[in-house]
Amino acid sequence: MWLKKQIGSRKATLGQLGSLESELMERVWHRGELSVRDLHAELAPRLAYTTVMTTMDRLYKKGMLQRRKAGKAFLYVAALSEQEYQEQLAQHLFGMVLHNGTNSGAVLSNFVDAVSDTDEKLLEHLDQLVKAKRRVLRRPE
Amino acid sequence: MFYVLAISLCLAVMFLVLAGASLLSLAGLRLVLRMAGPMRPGAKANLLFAARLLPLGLASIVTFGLALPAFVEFEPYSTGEGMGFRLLALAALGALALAGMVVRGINILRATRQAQQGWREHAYRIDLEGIKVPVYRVENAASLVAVTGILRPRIFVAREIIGALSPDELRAALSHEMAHVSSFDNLKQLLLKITRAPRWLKALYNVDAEWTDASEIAADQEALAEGTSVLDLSSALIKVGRLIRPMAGRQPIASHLVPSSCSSALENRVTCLSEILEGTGATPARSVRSKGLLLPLLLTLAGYVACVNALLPAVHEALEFLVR
Repeated sequence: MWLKKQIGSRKATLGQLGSLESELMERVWHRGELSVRDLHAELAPRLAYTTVMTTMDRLYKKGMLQRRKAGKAFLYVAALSEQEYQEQLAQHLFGMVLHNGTNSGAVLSNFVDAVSDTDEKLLEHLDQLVKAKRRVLRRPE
Repeated sequence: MFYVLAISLCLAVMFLVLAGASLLSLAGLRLVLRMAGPMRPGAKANLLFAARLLPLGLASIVTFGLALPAFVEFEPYSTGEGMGFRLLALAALGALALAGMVVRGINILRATRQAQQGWREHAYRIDLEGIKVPVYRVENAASLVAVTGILRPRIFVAREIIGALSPDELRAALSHEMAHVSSFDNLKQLLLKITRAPRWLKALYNVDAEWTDASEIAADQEALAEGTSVLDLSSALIKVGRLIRPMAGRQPIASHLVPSSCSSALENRVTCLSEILEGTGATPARSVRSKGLLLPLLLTLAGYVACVNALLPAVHEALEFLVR
Protein backbone atom coordinates (compact mmCIF):
# COMPACT_ATOMS: atom_id res chain seq x y z
CA MET A 1 0.00 0.00 0.00
CA TRP A 2 1.32 3.30 -1.02
CA LEU A 3 1.49 5.48 2.04
CA LYS A 4 2.60 8.99 2.08
CA LYS A 5 2.82 11.01 5.22
CA GLN A 6 1.79 14.52 4.55
CA ILE A 7 2.40 16.89 7.39
CA GLY A 8 0.74 20.29 7.26
CA SER A 9 3.59 22.72 7.21
CA ARG A 10 1.31 25.67 7.72
CA LYS A 11 1.38 27.36 11.07
CA ALA A 12 -1.88 27.31 13.01
CA THR A 13 -3.58 30.63 12.44
CA LEU A 14 -5.04 30.75 15.96
CA GLY A 15 -8.08 32.54 14.76
CA GLN A 16 -11.29 31.58 16.46
CA LEU A 17 -13.00 28.67 14.76
CA GLY A 18 -16.48 28.64 13.36
CA SER A 19 -19.12 26.46 15.03
CA LEU A 20 -18.83 23.58 12.54
CA GLU A 21 -15.03 23.78 12.59
CA SER A 22 -15.10 23.68 16.40
CA GLU A 23 -17.40 20.66 16.38
CA LEU A 24 -15.16 18.76 13.98
CA MET A 25 -12.03 19.71 15.91
CA GLU A 26 -13.60 18.44 19.14
CA ARG A 27 -14.34 15.10 17.46
CA VAL A 28 -10.78 14.88 16.12
CA TRP A 29 -9.36 15.70 19.55
CA HIS A 30 -11.62 13.06 21.08
CA ARG A 31 -11.14 10.30 18.51
CA GLY A 32 -7.57 10.81 17.33
CA GLU A 33 -6.65 9.97 13.74
CA LEU A 34 -9.65 9.53 11.47
CA SER A 35 -10.81 9.90 7.90
CA VAL A 36 -13.57 12.03 6.45
CA ARG A 37 -15.61 8.85 5.98
CA ASP A 38 -15.31 7.99 9.72
CA LEU A 39 -16.33 11.48 10.68
CA HIS A 40 -19.21 11.59 8.22
CA ALA A 41 -20.53 8.29 9.58
CA GLU A 42 -21.00 10.05 12.93
CA LEU A 43 -22.52 13.19 11.50
CA ALA A 44 -24.77 11.86 8.72
CA PRO A 45 -27.43 12.67 7.76
CA ARG A 46 -27.15 16.09 9.44
CA LEU A 47 -24.08 16.98 7.37
CA ALA A 48 -23.28 16.06 3.79
CA TYR A 49 -20.06 14.18 3.03
CA THR A 50 -18.77 17.10 0.96
CA THR A 51 -19.44 19.56 3.81
CA VAL A 52 -17.35 17.45 6.19
CA MET A 53 -14.62 17.03 3.57
CA THR A 54 -14.48 20.77 2.78
CA THR A 55 -14.43 21.75 6.44
CA MET A 56 -11.65 19.25 7.21
CA ASP A 57 -9.67 20.57 4.27
CA ARG A 58 -10.18 24.13 5.55
CA LEU A 59 -8.98 23.11 9.01
CA TYR A 60 -5.91 21.51 7.41
CA LYS A 61 -5.22 24.72 5.48
CA LYS A 62 -5.60 26.72 8.70
CA GLY A 63 -2.92 24.51 10.24
CA MET A 64 -5.28 23.02 12.80
CA LEU A 65 -4.98 19.49 11.31
CA GLN A 66 -2.22 17.36 9.87
CA ARG A 67 -2.99 14.70 7.32
CA ARG A 68 -1.45 11.71 5.60
CA LYS A 69 -2.65 9.73 2.66
CA ALA A 70 -3.81 6.17 3.30
CA GLY A 71 -4.90 4.56 0.04
CA LYS A 72 -7.24 6.96 -1.70
CA ALA A 73 -8.29 8.82 1.44
CA PHE A 74 -6.64 11.22 3.83
CA LEU A 75 -6.32 10.46 7.52
CA TYR A 76 -6.50 13.56 9.68
CA VAL A 77 -5.02 14.21 13.09
CA ALA A 78 -5.00 17.37 15.24
CA ALA A 79 -1.86 19.50 14.88
CA LEU A 80 -2.27 20.80 18.44
CA SER A 81 -3.84 19.19 21.47
CA GLU A 82 -7.03 20.84 22.69
CA GLN A 83 -5.21 22.28 25.69
CA GLU A 84 -2.36 23.63 23.54
CA TYR A 85 -4.88 25.24 21.21
CA GLN A 86 -6.82 26.88 24.06
CA GLU A 87 -3.62 28.16 25.65
CA GLN A 88 -2.25 29.54 22.40
CA LEU A 89 -5.59 31.10 21.53
CA ALA A 90 -5.74 32.81 24.90
CA GLN A 91 -2.16 34.06 24.49
CA HIS A 92 -3.00 35.24 21.01
CA LEU A 93 -6.07 37.16 22.18
CA PHE A 94 -4.18 38.63 25.12
CA GLY A 95 -1.31 39.71 22.89
CA MET A 96 -3.69 41.04 20.27
CA VAL A 97 -5.56 43.14 22.82
CA LEU A 98 -2.40 44.51 24.38
CA HIS A 99 -0.71 45.15 21.11
CA ASN A 100 -0.09 48.84 20.77
CA GLY A 101 -1.70 49.27 17.38
CA THR A 102 -2.36 52.77 16.20
CA ASN A 103 -6.10 52.36 16.02
CA SER A 104 -7.08 48.77 16.56
CA GLY A 105 -6.31 48.22 20.24
CA ALA A 106 -9.22 47.39 22.48
CA VAL A 107 -10.32 49.70 25.24
CA LEU A 108 -9.25 48.18 28.53
CA SER A 109 -7.55 49.10 31.77
CA ASN A 110 -5.09 46.51 32.96
CA PHE A 111 -3.99 46.17 36.55
CA VAL A 112 -0.46 45.63 35.24
CA ASP A 113 0.30 45.60 31.55
CA ALA A 114 4.06 45.64 31.19
CA VAL A 115 7.05 45.00 33.42
CA SER A 116 10.44 46.32 32.43
CA ASP A 117 13.80 45.50 34.01
CA THR A 118 13.61 48.73 36.01
CA ASP A 119 10.10 47.85 37.16
CA GLU A 120 11.32 44.46 38.31
CA LYS A 121 13.97 46.02 40.53
CA LEU A 122 11.43 48.48 41.93
CA LEU A 123 8.98 45.64 42.57
CA GLU A 124 11.74 43.83 44.48
CA HIS A 125 12.29 46.94 46.60
CA LEU A 126 8.53 47.28 47.17
CA ASP A 127 8.38 43.61 48.20
CA GLN A 128 11.05 44.20 50.83
CA LEU A 129 9.14 47.20 52.15
CA VAL A 130 5.90 45.21 52.33
CA LYS A 131 7.59 42.34 54.15
CA ALA A 132 9.24 44.73 56.61
CA LYS A 133 5.95 46.51 57.22
CA ARG A 134 4.10 43.23 57.72
CA ARG A 135 6.75 42.11 60.19
CA VAL A 136 6.25 45.34 62.12
CA LEU A 137 2.50 44.87 62.10
CA ARG A 138 2.96 41.15 62.88
CA ARG A 139 0.46 40.38 60.21
CA PRO A 140 0.74 36.95 58.59
CA GLU A 141 1.25 37.03 54.84
CA MET B 1 -29.10 73.22 -1.57
CA PHE B 2 -29.73 74.70 1.87
CA TYR B 3 -28.95 71.40 3.60
CA VAL B 4 -25.96 70.58 1.38
CA LEU B 5 -24.53 74.01 2.11
CA ALA B 6 -25.22 73.59 5.83
CA ILE B 7 -23.47 70.21 5.98
CA SER B 8 -20.52 71.46 3.91
CA LEU B 9 -20.16 74.52 6.10
CA CYS B 10 -20.29 72.43 9.27
CA LEU B 11 -17.59 70.09 7.95
CA ALA B 12 -15.42 72.97 6.77
CA VAL B 13 -15.73 74.88 10.05
CA MET B 14 -15.08 71.72 12.04
CA PHE B 15 -11.91 71.03 10.06
CA LEU B 16 -10.66 74.62 10.33
CA VAL B 17 -11.19 74.85 14.09
CA LEU B 18 -9.88 71.34 14.71
CA ALA B 19 -6.70 71.94 12.70
CA GLY B 20 -6.15 75.43 14.09
CA ALA B 21 -6.79 74.43 17.70
CA SER B 22 -4.59 71.33 17.36
CA LEU B 23 -1.68 73.41 16.06
CA LEU B 24 -2.13 76.02 18.78
CA SER B 25 -2.44 73.35 21.47
CA LEU B 26 0.96 71.92 20.50
CA ALA B 27 2.58 74.91 22.16
CA GLY B 28 0.05 75.04 24.99
CA LEU B 29 0.51 71.39 25.88
CA ARG B 30 4.10 71.95 26.96
CA LEU B 31 2.76 74.46 29.48
CA VAL B 32 -0.01 72.06 30.52
CA LEU B 33 2.52 69.27 31.09
CA ARG B 34 4.64 71.62 33.23
CA MET B 35 1.56 72.78 35.18
CA ALA B 36 0.34 69.22 35.68
CA GLY B 37 3.64 68.04 37.18
CA PRO B 38 2.97 68.81 40.85
CA MET B 39 -0.79 68.18 40.73
CA ARG B 40 -2.67 65.31 42.38
CA PRO B 41 -2.81 62.31 39.99
CA GLY B 42 -6.62 62.52 39.58
CA ALA B 43 -6.57 66.24 38.83
CA LYS B 44 -3.55 65.78 36.57
CA ALA B 45 -5.34 63.07 34.58
CA ASN B 46 -8.40 65.32 34.23
CA LEU B 47 -6.31 68.30 33.09
CA LEU B 48 -4.39 66.24 30.53
CA PHE B 49 -7.58 64.68 29.21
CA ALA B 50 -9.23 68.10 28.89
CA ALA B 51 -6.16 69.53 27.16
CA ARG B 52 -6.06 66.65 24.67
CA LEU B 53 -9.76 66.82 23.89
CA LEU B 54 -9.82 70.63 23.76
CA PRO B 55 -9.39 70.92 19.96
CA LEU B 56 -12.24 68.47 19.29
CA GLY B 57 -14.43 70.06 21.95
CA LEU B 58 -13.75 73.53 20.59
CA ALA B 59 -14.43 72.37 17.04
CA SER B 60 -17.74 70.84 18.13
CA ILE B 61 -18.80 73.95 20.06
CA VAL B 62 -17.92 76.35 17.23
CA THR B 63 -19.55 74.11 14.60
CA PHE B 64 -22.75 73.13 16.34
CA GLY B 65 -22.99 75.97 18.82
CA LEU B 66 -22.14 78.93 16.58
CA ALA B 67 -21.77 78.13 12.86
CA LEU B 68 -24.89 76.00 12.49
CA PRO B 69 -27.19 78.32 14.49
CA ALA B 70 -25.81 81.35 12.59
CA PHE B 71 -26.44 79.65 9.26
CA VAL B 72 -29.98 78.60 10.20
CA GLU B 73 -30.76 82.04 11.64
CA PHE B 74 -29.46 84.26 8.85
CA GLU B 75 -29.32 82.19 5.70
CA PRO B 76 -32.57 82.20 3.68
CA TYR B 77 -33.94 78.72 3.07
CA SER B 78 -34.14 79.40 -0.66
CA THR B 79 -30.49 80.36 -0.83
CA GLY B 80 -28.99 80.56 -4.27
CA GLU B 81 -25.41 80.55 -3.08
CA GLY B 82 -23.15 77.99 -4.69
CA MET B 83 -20.11 76.34 -3.21
CA GLY B 84 -16.67 77.56 -4.13
CA PHE B 85 -13.52 75.46 -4.35
CA ARG B 86 -12.34 76.70 -0.94
CA LEU B 87 -15.49 75.49 0.82
CA LEU B 88 -15.52 72.21 -1.07
CA ALA B 89 -11.89 71.49 -0.25
CA LEU B 90 -12.30 72.32 3.44
CA ALA B 91 -15.54 70.29 3.64
CA ALA B 92 -13.80 67.32 2.03
CA LEU B 93 -10.95 67.54 4.55
CA GLY B 94 -13.50 67.83 7.37
CA ALA B 95 -15.37 64.78 6.09
CA LEU B 96 -12.08 62.88 5.86
CA ALA B 97 -11.13 63.76 9.43
CA LEU B 98 -14.58 62.82 10.71
CA ALA B 99 -14.64 59.55 8.75
CA GLY B 100 -11.17 58.71 10.09
CA MET B 101 -12.38 59.16 13.67
CA VAL B 102 -15.53 57.12 13.05
CA VAL B 103 -13.60 54.25 11.44
CA ARG B 104 -11.04 54.31 14.22
CA GLY B 105 -13.83 54.27 16.81
CA ILE B 106 -15.54 51.31 15.14
CA ASN B 107 -12.25 49.38 14.98
CA ILE B 108 -11.57 50.01 18.65
CA LEU B 109 -15.07 48.99 19.73
CA ARG B 110 -14.87 45.87 17.56
CA ALA B 111 -11.50 44.91 19.05
CA THR B 112 -12.91 45.46 22.55
CA ARG B 113 -15.94 43.29 21.80
CA GLN B 114 -13.74 40.61 20.26
CA ALA B 115 -11.50 40.55 23.32
CA GLN B 116 -14.48 40.33 25.67
CA GLN B 117 -16.02 37.52 23.65
CA GLY B 118 -12.71 35.65 23.49
CA TRP B 119 -12.32 35.76 27.25
CA ARG B 120 -15.97 35.08 28.04
CA GLU B 121 -15.95 31.86 26.02
CA HIS B 122 -13.71 30.34 28.67
CA ALA B 123 -14.87 32.32 31.66
CA TYR B 124 -17.18 31.85 34.62
CA ARG B 125 -18.88 34.67 36.39
CA ILE B 126 -17.93 34.97 40.03
CA ASP B 127 -19.62 36.98 42.75
CA LEU B 128 -17.50 39.22 44.88
CA GLU B 129 -18.99 41.32 47.61
CA GLY B 130 -18.69 45.06 47.08
CA ILE B 131 -17.76 44.83 43.38
CA LYS B 132 -20.61 46.34 41.42
CA VAL B 133 -19.61 45.25 37.91
CA PRO B 134 -19.64 41.64 36.65
CA VAL B 135 -16.40 39.81 37.38
CA TYR B 136 -15.35 36.81 35.29
CA ARG B 137 -12.75 34.18 36.09
CA VAL B 138 -10.97 33.42 32.82
CA GLU B 139 -9.68 29.87 32.68
CA ASN B 140 -6.87 30.20 30.19
CA ALA B 141 -5.68 33.80 29.90
CA ALA B 142 -2.51 34.03 31.90
CA SER B 143 -1.83 37.11 34.05
CA LEU B 144 -5.00 38.92 33.12
CA VAL B 145 -6.63 41.45 35.43
CA ALA B 146 -8.45 44.03 33.38
CA VAL B 147 -11.64 45.96 33.07
CA THR B 148 -13.02 46.32 29.56
CA GLY B 149 -16.11 47.86 28.09
CA ILE B 150 -17.43 51.38 28.13
CA LEU B 151 -21.14 51.38 28.83
CA ARG B 152 -21.20 47.93 30.40
CA PRO B 153 -17.81 47.38 32.02
CA ARG B 154 -16.72 43.88 32.93
CA ILE B 155 -13.72 42.76 34.93
CA PHE B 156 -11.76 39.72 33.76
CA VAL B 157 -9.37 37.94 36.09
CA ALA B 158 -7.28 34.95 35.10
CA ARG B 159 -7.64 31.79 37.19
CA GLU B 160 -3.87 31.95 37.67
CA ILE B 161 -4.20 35.36 39.33
CA ILE B 162 -7.07 34.27 41.57
CA GLY B 163 -4.93 31.35 42.70
CA ALA B 164 -1.87 33.51 43.34
CA LEU B 165 -3.48 36.38 45.25
CA SER B 166 -4.95 36.23 48.73
CA PRO B 167 -8.60 37.34 49.02
CA ASP B 168 -7.50 40.75 50.37
CA GLU B 169 -4.96 41.21 47.57
CA LEU B 170 -7.55 40.24 44.97
CA ARG B 171 -9.98 42.74 46.47
CA ALA B 172 -7.24 45.40 46.33
CA ALA B 173 -6.57 44.69 42.64
CA LEU B 174 -10.29 44.82 41.88
CA SER B 175 -10.64 48.10 43.82
CA HIS B 176 -8.04 49.54 41.47
CA GLU B 177 -10.10 48.36 38.49
CA MET B 178 -13.29 49.73 40.06
CA ALA B 179 -11.59 53.11 40.38
CA HIS B 180 -11.06 53.01 36.60
CA VAL B 181 -14.76 52.22 36.17
CA SER B 182 -15.94 55.06 38.39
CA SER B 183 -13.61 57.52 36.63
CA PHE B 184 -14.92 56.44 33.19
CA ASP B 185 -11.31 55.79 32.19
CA ASN B 186 -12.27 53.40 29.40
CA LEU B 187 -14.52 56.04 27.82
CA LYS B 188 -11.70 58.59 28.14
CA GLN B 189 -9.29 56.05 26.67
CA LEU B 190 -11.65 55.51 23.74
CA LEU B 191 -11.84 59.26 23.05
CA LEU B 192 -8.07 59.62 23.31
CA LYS B 193 -7.56 56.70 20.94
CA ILE B 194 -10.09 58.03 18.45
CA THR B 195 -8.35 61.40 18.40
CA ARG B 196 -4.87 59.94 18.70
CA ALA B 197 -2.15 62.06 17.18
CA PRO B 198 0.44 60.55 14.85
CA ARG B 199 3.67 59.44 16.52
CA TRP B 200 5.65 62.24 14.94
CA LEU B 201 3.59 64.79 16.85
CA LYS B 202 5.48 63.98 20.02
CA ALA B 203 3.94 66.65 22.24
CA LEU B 204 0.43 65.29 21.69
CA TYR B 205 1.60 61.70 21.83
CA ASN B 206 3.38 62.24 25.14
CA VAL B 207 0.23 63.69 26.67
CA ASP B 208 -1.50 60.34 26.08
CA ALA B 209 1.33 58.54 27.87
CA GLU B 210 1.21 61.05 30.74
CA TRP B 211 -2.57 60.58 30.99
CA THR B 212 -2.21 56.78 31.20
CA ASP B 213 0.41 57.19 33.89
CA ALA B 214 -1.67 59.68 35.91
CA SER B 215 -4.89 57.65 35.58
CA GLU B 216 -3.15 54.49 36.83
CA ILE B 217 -1.74 56.27 39.88
CA ALA B 218 -5.11 57.98 40.42
CA ALA B 219 -6.81 54.54 40.38
CA ASP B 220 -4.36 53.32 43.03
CA GLN B 221 -4.98 56.41 45.14
CA GLU B 222 -8.74 56.10 44.75
CA ALA B 223 -8.55 52.45 45.85
CA LEU B 224 -6.48 53.46 48.90
CA ALA B 225 -8.85 56.34 49.69
CA GLU B 226 -11.74 53.86 49.59
CA GLY B 227 -10.09 51.85 52.34
CA THR B 228 -7.86 49.37 50.51
CA SER B 229 -4.74 48.51 52.48
CA VAL B 230 -1.53 49.81 50.94
CA LEU B 231 0.09 46.49 51.87
CA ASP B 232 -2.54 44.46 50.02
CA LEU B 233 -2.41 46.69 46.96
CA SER B 234 1.40 46.56 46.92
CA SER B 235 1.42 42.79 47.33
CA ALA B 236 -1.10 42.39 44.52
CA LEU B 237 1.02 44.60 42.28
CA ILE B 238 4.16 42.61 43.09
CA LYS B 239 2.53 39.23 42.48
CA VAL B 240 0.78 40.20 39.24
CA GLY B 241 3.93 41.96 38.04
CA ARG B 242 5.98 38.83 38.67
CA LEU B 243 3.44 36.66 36.87
CA ILE B 244 3.49 38.98 33.87
CA ARG B 245 7.27 39.26 33.76
CA PRO B 246 7.99 35.78 32.30
CA MET B 247 5.54 36.51 29.49
CA ALA B 248 7.49 39.53 28.32
CA GLY B 249 9.83 37.52 26.17
CA ARG B 250 7.08 35.47 24.57
CA GLN B 251 4.84 38.13 23.20
CA PRO B 252 4.81 41.82 22.46
CA ILE B 253 3.50 43.43 25.57
CA ALA B 254 2.65 47.04 25.19
CA SER B 255 0.19 49.14 27.04
CA HIS B 256 -2.65 50.74 25.22
CA LEU B 257 -1.36 54.29 25.24
CA VAL B 258 2.12 54.35 26.72
CA PRO B 259 4.77 54.28 24.02
CA SER B 260 7.53 51.79 24.71
CA SER B 261 10.14 54.53 24.94
CA CYS B 262 8.42 56.14 27.94
CA SER B 263 8.99 55.12 31.51
CA SER B 264 6.26 52.68 32.45
CA ALA B 265 3.20 53.58 34.48
CA LEU B 266 4.13 50.72 36.80
CA GLU B 267 7.40 52.41 37.72
CA ASN B 268 5.59 55.50 38.98
CA ARG B 269 2.92 53.47 40.76
CA VAL B 270 5.53 51.42 42.58
CA THR B 271 7.39 54.60 43.54
CA CYS B 272 4.18 56.13 44.96
CA LEU B 273 3.35 53.01 46.97
CA SER B 274 6.95 52.75 48.20
CA GLU B 275 6.80 56.36 49.41
CA ILE B 276 3.61 55.63 51.35
CA LEU B 277 5.16 52.52 52.91
CA GLU B 278 8.36 54.40 53.77
CA GLY B 279 6.32 57.17 55.33
CA THR B 280 7.52 59.88 52.95
CA GLY B 281 4.24 59.92 51.02
CA ALA B 282 0.79 60.47 52.48
CA THR B 283 -1.97 57.89 52.25
CA PRO B 284 -4.72 59.51 50.19
CA ALA B 285 -7.62 60.64 52.33
CA ARG B 286 -11.14 59.53 51.56
CA SER B 287 -12.18 62.32 49.29
CA VAL B 288 -14.98 63.41 47.08
CA ARG B 289 -14.23 62.63 43.44
CA SER B 290 -12.51 65.45 41.62
CA LYS B 291 -14.91 67.85 39.97
CA GLY B 292 -12.08 69.12 37.79
CA LEU B 293 -13.94 68.78 34.50
CA LEU B 294 -17.31 69.97 35.75
CA LEU B 295 -16.31 73.57 36.47
CA PRO B 296 -14.80 74.33 33.04
CA LEU B 297 -17.86 72.73 31.41
CA LEU B 298 -20.26 74.88 33.43
CA LEU B 299 -18.22 78.04 32.74
CA THR B 300 -18.17 77.26 29.00
CA LEU B 301 -21.93 76.71 29.00
CA ALA B 302 -22.58 79.95 30.89
CA GLY B 303 -20.27 81.90 28.56
CA TYR B 304 -21.99 80.40 25.52
CA VAL B 305 -25.49 81.27 26.73
CA ALA B 306 -24.38 84.82 27.55
CA CYS B 307 -22.66 85.53 24.23
CA VAL B 308 -24.35 83.42 21.60
CA ASN B 309 -26.88 86.02 20.39
CA ALA B 310 -24.26 88.74 20.10
CA LEU B 311 -21.86 86.46 18.25
CA LEU B 312 -24.16 84.97 15.64
CA PRO B 313 -24.16 87.92 13.17
CA ALA B 314 -20.35 88.08 13.20
CA VAL B 315 -20.16 84.31 12.76
CA HIS B 316 -22.50 84.53 9.78
CA GLU B 317 -20.26 87.18 8.21
CA ALA B 318 -17.29 84.85 8.62
CA LEU B 319 -19.27 82.01 7.05
CA GLU B 320 -20.09 84.21 4.07
CA PHE B 321 -16.37 84.71 3.55
CA LEU B 322 -15.93 80.95 3.59
CA VAL B 323 -18.68 80.41 1.01
CA ARG B 324 -17.48 83.07 -1.41
